[in-house]
Amino acid sequence: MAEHGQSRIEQSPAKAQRSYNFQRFADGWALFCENPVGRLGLFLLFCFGAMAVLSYIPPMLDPMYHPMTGVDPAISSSTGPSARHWLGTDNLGRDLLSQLLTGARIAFMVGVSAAFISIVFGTLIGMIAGYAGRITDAVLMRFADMIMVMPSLLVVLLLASLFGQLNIWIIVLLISLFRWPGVSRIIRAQTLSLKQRPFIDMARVAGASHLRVIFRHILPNVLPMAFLYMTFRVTSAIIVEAALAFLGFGDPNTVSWGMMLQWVWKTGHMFQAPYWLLPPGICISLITLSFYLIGRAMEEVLDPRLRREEGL
Amino acid sequence: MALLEINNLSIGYKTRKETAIAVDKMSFTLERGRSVGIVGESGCGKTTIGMGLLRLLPSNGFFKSGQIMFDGMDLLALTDAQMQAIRWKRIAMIFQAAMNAWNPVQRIGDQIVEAIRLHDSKISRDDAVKEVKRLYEIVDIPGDRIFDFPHQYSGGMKQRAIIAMALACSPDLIIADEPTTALDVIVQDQIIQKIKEIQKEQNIAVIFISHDIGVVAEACHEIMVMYRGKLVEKGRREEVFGAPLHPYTQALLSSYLTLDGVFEVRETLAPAISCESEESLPEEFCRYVSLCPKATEACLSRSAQWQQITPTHNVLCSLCRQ
Amino acid sequence: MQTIDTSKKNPGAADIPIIEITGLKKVYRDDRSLFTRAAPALTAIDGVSLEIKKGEVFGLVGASGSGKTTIGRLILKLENIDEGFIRFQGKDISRLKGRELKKFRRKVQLIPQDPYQSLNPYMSVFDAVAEPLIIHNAGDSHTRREKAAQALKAAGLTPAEDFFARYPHQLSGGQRQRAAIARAMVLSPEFVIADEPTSMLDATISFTIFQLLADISRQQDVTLLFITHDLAAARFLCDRIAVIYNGKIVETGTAEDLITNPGSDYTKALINAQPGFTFVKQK
Ligand SMILES: Nc1ncnc2c1ncn2[C@@H]1O[C@H](COP(=O)(O)OP(=O)(O)OP(=O)(O)O)[C@@H](O)[C@H]1O
Ligand SMILES: Nc1ncnc2c1ncn2[C@@H]1O[C@H](COP(=O)(O)OP(=O)(O)OP(=O)(O)O)[C@@H](O)[C@H]1O
Ligand SMILES: [Mg+2]
Ligand SMILES: [Mg+2]
Repeated sequence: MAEHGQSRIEQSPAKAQRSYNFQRFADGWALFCENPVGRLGLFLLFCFGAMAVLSYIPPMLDPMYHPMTGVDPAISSSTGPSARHWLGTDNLGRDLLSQLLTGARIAFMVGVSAAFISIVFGTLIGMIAGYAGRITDAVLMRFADMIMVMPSLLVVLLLASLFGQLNIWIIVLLISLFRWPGVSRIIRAQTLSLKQRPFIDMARVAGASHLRVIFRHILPNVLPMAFLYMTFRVTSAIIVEAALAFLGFGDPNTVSWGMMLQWVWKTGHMFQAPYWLLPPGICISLITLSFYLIGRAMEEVLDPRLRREEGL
Repeated sequence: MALLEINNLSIGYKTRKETAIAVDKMSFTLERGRSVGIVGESGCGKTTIGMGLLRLLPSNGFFKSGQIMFDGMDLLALTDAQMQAIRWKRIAMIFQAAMNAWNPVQRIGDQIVEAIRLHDSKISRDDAVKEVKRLYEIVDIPGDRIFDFPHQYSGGMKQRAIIAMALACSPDLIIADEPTTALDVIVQDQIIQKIKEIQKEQNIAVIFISHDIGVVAEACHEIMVMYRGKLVEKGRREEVFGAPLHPYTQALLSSYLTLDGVFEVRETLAPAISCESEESLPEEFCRYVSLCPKATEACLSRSAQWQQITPTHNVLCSLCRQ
Repeated sequence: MQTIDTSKKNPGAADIPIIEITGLKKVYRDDRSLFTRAAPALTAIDGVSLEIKKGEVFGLVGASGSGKTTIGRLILKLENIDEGFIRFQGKDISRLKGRELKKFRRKVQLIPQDPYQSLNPYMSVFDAVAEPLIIHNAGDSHTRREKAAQALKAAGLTPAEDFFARYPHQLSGGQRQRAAIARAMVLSPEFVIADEPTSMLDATISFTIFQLLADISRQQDVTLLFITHDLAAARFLCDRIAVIYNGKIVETGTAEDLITNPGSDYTKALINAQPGFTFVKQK
């Protein structure tokens, strides 16, 4: 006899299925955009993205707008906003707006790459620990614990004072090395529960190797979670970099917002030049906020239980 | 006066895409000490009715119309606090798949003890443990496994522990949503007999929800068959199973395996007419047409209406219309 | 009542055993007892001996928690054997390694209990059905497509191409179980374990799945171990039935014999507990 409930599904046209992945993405996107939190996050992110792109323009207009080397010959001390320098200049006569724009670029670079590296590490180690279990799990997780409880800022400071000024990429690497354990714990927990799911047994019964099980069956299932955590990692990477820079251990050849704050402080303009102090401070807060908001909204898309269907 | 009287109850769910009606214009009455079984395929709205009776619909569920009279009270008109006093004390529910809801890191015995003491703060822990022991005897779990973790139980044992928990507060009405699914026949039989026994002794009413027609046949006085949100046939069990009238009831019975073979109402069950989809038909029309072996063109052109066969046996079918 | 037509069952069942189980024992120990009170070890399988003959449909019936799934998992090498042997085509499976193991994996398949959990949600039906072919390097992409289509068709999902691009959540429960059956059958295995394949499905749908399994066992050269707690379903499908209770086999016999003439009290209890329509007067 005919299967009940089957006919309804069968009537949907076959071509509709091809665009399934697209559809799912579109649905997720729609949900994301409906969420005010996600919209605000995206809007902020878009602003910072625009800043990063615009940062290439001022030095092209006039070399004096170069954030590092461009010094306005007419100015020899920090000045407030003017028509020539919309946000003012620092004590050397460098344009603050141009520095701020470049800072956005650096923040993106540092944040995204450190987050990406830590996510790759964290996901791999988490999956291996969760899947292998027993000794491997215990060893990897104790190792992760050790790193997690290490005061990362202190260790990086120590390294910096040992090896002198650190290159921005070394800083990125260090940040990501300290930031994977949190991710790996979450991915491990997910893997543990996935491992109990019958489809993993089914894959083994079909003869799949462990590598295949991990990469073909477990990875796609944990990937959304990994991406979600990536947005949170971006936040923390940006903060760590800013803190390092502010404490004077940043890469002296880059202009990051943390560096700008350090310059304000070192030159003793902390309380004299709010036009210099505030913009980088606000930018740091807002960019971390934007990634955080996006993460929250993504969490809601990924986990239907968090979704608020319009209630009564 | 009947213990429970449901009039024209419709329950819907709002989702982002649409508003779906999960239970459509349902009416029935249930006397004290009687049991009614609701059968139907997965997704036809059985759980929705149970949750609706307790006013425990998910946040996107809503009552579209109708009335629920329980012991003279209009449940839909009560305040939340009044309703809270009725839940568990007077209407208990065995939730579907509750066995998977055990907290995995807490011992099952502790979880039941906690629930009992939450419910009645005067009871001492030792007494609560004793009570759990008694309940465990009813549902046939060895007493020495009370303080095991959920993962150490087999699926059946977890479900039995849930049933034990619902039996703890002897209520007027028990709504049992698939209480024996995932149990083996022997335990299932014991549970059914137990529920019947308790029901008779304490004169409680039972709404027994199941997709297993054999279980409701065994357990209930009255049977209601549901299809896609609508009741399609209701009556005393002898009537419904002895002379099933709705083609869907017949299909359900004919695919039921018994030890002696298959139930007899077998017929060639190939859809007789083609119809785009039931969705395109007006609401009042039969929802089973595209799968119904007996459907005729007439089914596509007129609404289904309740037909009284005997005072207790009714069927909703556009064919059975005189 | 209609009586069951016994001639449907497998005439081709030979007397050669395909699975021999001797003195099988499995004990679950609580190995996470470092911080918690240690639970006592649990003997899930306690000295089971069985023989399943080539080509037959063998039913394993028992209460929940009696160890049915555990036996299936032991045969599939998803758990380690504590004591005893399982021989598949004469070979001790606990010794299988490397290529031998892969060959074994090709011949023995599982139809799982819960179709909602047994398909990877991120894999389309085609990917899922073709995965065993990829793992075992069976054919190029064209023949894989053909074989997958064939398997889906045999499992009653037609037209197969319509289902290729769908994901599990776009299928009804019955369709998912059919996809899982197609995946299990795509390598033409010699031995298939069906672990309560319909316990999550509606009655009308599970009946069609039983019919499908009966068809498969008749038409293909496959031995089926059908695990269930439903004696009626076992009778409908199986040639021989073993009843298991608390990890021990209490009775084995042909389906007819066992039900009309139960030898053990437990089997009798099982038969009596069968929910039924005793109140309906049958002519
Ligand atoms: N929270 C919800 N939001 C939207 N739709 C829902 C919700 N809960 C249930 N539904 C829909 O309402 C219908 C009835 O669901 P219900 O859970 O009552 O079915 P059921 O008969 O209990 O099925 P089963 O036998 O599988 O338990 C289904 O089509 C379901 O998809
Ligand atoms: N991983 C495990 N750890 C500890 N005990 C287990 C484990 N798996 C199963 N058991 C125990 O082994 C016994 C047999 O379980 P099994 O799953 O084989 O039963 P079953 O016959 O398949 O039951 P069901 O019909 O409920 O599926 C049960 O008592 C169960 O609690
Ligand atoms: Mg339900
Ligand atoms: Mg099992």
